Amino acid sequence: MSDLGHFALCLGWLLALVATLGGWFVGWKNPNHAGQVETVRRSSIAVFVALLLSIGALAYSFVTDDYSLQYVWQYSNKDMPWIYKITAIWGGMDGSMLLWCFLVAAFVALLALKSRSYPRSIVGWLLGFGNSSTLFFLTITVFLTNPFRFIKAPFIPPDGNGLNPLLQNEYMAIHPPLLYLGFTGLAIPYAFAMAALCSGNISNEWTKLARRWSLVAWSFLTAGIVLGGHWAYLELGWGGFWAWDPVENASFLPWLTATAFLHSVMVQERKGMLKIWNVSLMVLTYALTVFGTFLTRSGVVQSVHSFASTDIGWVFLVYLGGIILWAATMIFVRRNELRPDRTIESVFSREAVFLLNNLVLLSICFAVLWGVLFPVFSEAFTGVKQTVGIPFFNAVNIPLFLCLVFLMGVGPSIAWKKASISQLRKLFLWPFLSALVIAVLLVWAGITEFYPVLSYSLCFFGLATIVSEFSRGLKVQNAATSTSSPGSGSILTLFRRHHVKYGAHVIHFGVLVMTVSITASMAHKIEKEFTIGRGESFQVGRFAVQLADFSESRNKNYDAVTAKAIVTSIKSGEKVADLSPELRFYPKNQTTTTEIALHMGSREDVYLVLAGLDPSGQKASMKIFINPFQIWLWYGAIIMVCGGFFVAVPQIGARVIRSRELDVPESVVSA
Amino acid sequence: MTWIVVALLISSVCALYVLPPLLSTPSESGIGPVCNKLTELVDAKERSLRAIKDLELDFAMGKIAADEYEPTRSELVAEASHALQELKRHGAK
Repeated sequence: MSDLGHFALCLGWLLALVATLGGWFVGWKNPNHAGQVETVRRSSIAVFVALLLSIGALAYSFVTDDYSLQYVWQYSNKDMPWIYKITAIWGGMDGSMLLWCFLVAAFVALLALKSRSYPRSIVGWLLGFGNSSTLFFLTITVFLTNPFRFIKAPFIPPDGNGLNPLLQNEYMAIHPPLLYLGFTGLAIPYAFAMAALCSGNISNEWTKLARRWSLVAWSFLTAGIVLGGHWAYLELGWGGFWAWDPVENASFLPWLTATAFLHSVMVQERKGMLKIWNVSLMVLTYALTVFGTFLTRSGVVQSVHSFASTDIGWVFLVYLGGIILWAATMIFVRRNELRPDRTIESVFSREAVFLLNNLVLLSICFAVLWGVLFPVFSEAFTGVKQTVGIPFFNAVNIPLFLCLVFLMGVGPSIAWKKASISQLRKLFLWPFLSALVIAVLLVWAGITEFYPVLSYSLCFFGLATIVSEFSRGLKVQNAATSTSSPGSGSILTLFRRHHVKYGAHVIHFGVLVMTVSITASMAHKIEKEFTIGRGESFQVGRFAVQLADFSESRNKNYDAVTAKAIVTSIKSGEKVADLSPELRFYPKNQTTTTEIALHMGSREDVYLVLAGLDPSGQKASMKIFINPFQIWLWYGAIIMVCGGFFVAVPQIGARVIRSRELDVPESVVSA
Repeated sequence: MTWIVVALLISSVCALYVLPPLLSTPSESGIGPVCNKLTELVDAKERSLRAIKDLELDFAMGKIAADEYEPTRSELVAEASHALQELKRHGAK
C-alpha cells in the first residue's frame, strides 16, 4: 500500500507540473482554446485525486502499524488509539507537508470546477498559479520530506516511537487541518491577484471573485487559530491561550493581512481605489503563509509547536523571493492600469477609515514580525540570541488593537466620500456618550486601570454602533416596504437582503465579545500556587478548593496520578465542581505531562493543575487559575467564524433565500 | 508486482481523463457549455442586484451623497440589465 501511496504522490507531482506550466501557457498564448483549458482543468482535478490516494495510503499505513515506513515508526505505536494514529499523519514534518499539498490541491480542484463561470482571460493563469502552489509544496514533499521513505534498519521494528503526548489530544485532530485549510485557502486569492496582473484583466471582477475565497480561507484560519489557542489552554497547563509564541505568530501574520484585504477590497469595488494596495496585500498574505511554514519547519525559531529543525529552509526562501519578485515586476508592468480612479476626499469618510484600519492591521503585522525575527537579527548582528517576550507584544499591540476596535465601530457606519459634522454627530454622539457612561461606571465599580476601562468602553461603543446600524436599517426597510409588503421589516429580512453588510456586523460582534473576554482575562485573572495534603483546603477568589484524595491508574499508553479536588463557593458553601487534574507518564516517550481539570462557567473558569507530588506522596503541589469571562472568548470566535461563512458561502448567506429578496427593480427591466 | 499493475492502470485512467480535450480543435465560442455561461450571467445579475440593494440602503441611511449615488446606481443598473438581456437571449427564465 505504501508503494501505491508513493506512486500516487509522484503522479500528483507530475500532474501538478503539467497543470502549472499548462495553465501559464494557456493564459499567455491561448486563453480561448477550449481544449487546452479543459486539459489544465482536468489536470488540476487529477492532482487532487492522486493526492487523495496518497494520503489515504499513508493513513492506511498508520492504522495497520506498518513500521517499515520511517515516518510511521517515528510518530506512531501500537498502544495509541486509532484516532491518534490518524492525527499522527500531521504529527511530524513529512506527513504535515503531504496534508498541506492535499488541501491546496483540494482548493485548486474546487477552483477548477468553479472556473467554468469565470472570465476566460484569467482562467489559464488562475489555474497555473493555483497549481504552482501545489507544485512547490509537492516538490518539497517528494524530494525532501517524503513520508513513504523506508526505515533505515536491517529489520522492521516490532513497535514505533509514538506521537508526542502533547499532541495526543482531540483538538489536535481538528486544529491543524483547520489551520492548514486557512493557509492553503489563501493560495486561491493569491492566484486571482497574479492572474489579474498577468492577464491584464485588472477590472474589479477579480476582487469580487477573490473576496469570497478569501473569506472562506479567513474563516478557516480564524477557526484554526482559535482552536490552537483552545488546545494550548487545555493541554499546556499554564492557564493561558496565547503566548505570542513564534509559531502562533506565524499563523496570526497572514490572518492580519487577509483581514486588511477583506476591508480594503471594498474600497476598490466601490471607489476604484487601492488597486496596487489590494494586489500587494494578497501577495503579501500568501507570502506570509509560506513564511509561516518556513518558520515552523526550518528550525530558525524555537517553539513548542515547531517541527524538528531541518535543512529545507533555503527552499522556502528561494520560493518566497521568487513570488515576491514576480509580483513586484508585474505590478510595475501594470502600473498604469492599476492607477486609482479617484482619491480620498476627506478623512471623515469610510474609505479613509478603512485605509486607517489597514494601516493599523499592517502595523500590528510588522510589530509581530519584528518580535518573531528579533532573535534571528540579534544573533546575526551581535552573536547573542535575544528573544522578546509577552510584555513586548502586549505593550506594542494592545494600543493598536484598541484603535482597531474603535475603527470597527466607526467604519461600517460612516458615509462614503465625505461625512459632515452633523452626520457624525447623529451617528456617533449616543454611542460615544454611552461608552463614556460605561467608563464612569467601571471606575466607580473599582476598575481603575487605564487599558481595561478603555477596552470595555470601546467595546460598548462598538456594540452601540452595531445596534444603531440595525435599528436604522430596520427603519429604512420599514419605510420602504410598509406599503408594498407589510410585515417584511424584520431583522431576518435585513440579513436576507444585505447579507454581506449585516454578516460583517455579526463578525464584528464576535470580535467585541472576544475583546471583552481577552480584556477580562488579562486584567482580572487570579493565579495561585499551593501545596496541600489529603483533606486540606485552600481559598482563592470566591472559591475554596479541598483536596479529597489521590489515585493511581495504569492506562493503555500512559500511567497516571489523579488528584480529586472539590471546589465550593465560599459565600454559599455549595459545591461548584469536582475537579480531577492528572499527572501522566508516557513510558514509550519517557515524558511526563499534566492534564488540567477545568470547570467552565459563564462568569469564570476554574482551572486546576496538578503540578507535582512531594517525595512522601502525601501532599500535592497545585496551581489554580480563575479566568474571568474565558468561555466568551470561544463563543466570540464561534460567532466570528459563523459570520464569516455566512457572508462567504452563498448557499448559507444568500442563495437559499434568493427569490423574493432579489426582485428585479423596474429600472433594471426598463434599462 | 501487483502494485506495478495497479500503478499502470491508474496512469492509464489518468491519461485518458486528462489528455483527450487537447485533441479537440481551438474554439473561440466559449470555454464551457452553455449552462456555464448561464451560471456566469446569473451570478453577475445577482451580484449587481445585491449591490443595488446595498447602495439604496446606504443612500437611505445617509451614507452616500446624492451626486455619487445616481451615477453609481446607473452603472449597476446597466450591469444588471445587460446580464438580464443576455439571460433572456439564452432562453433562461
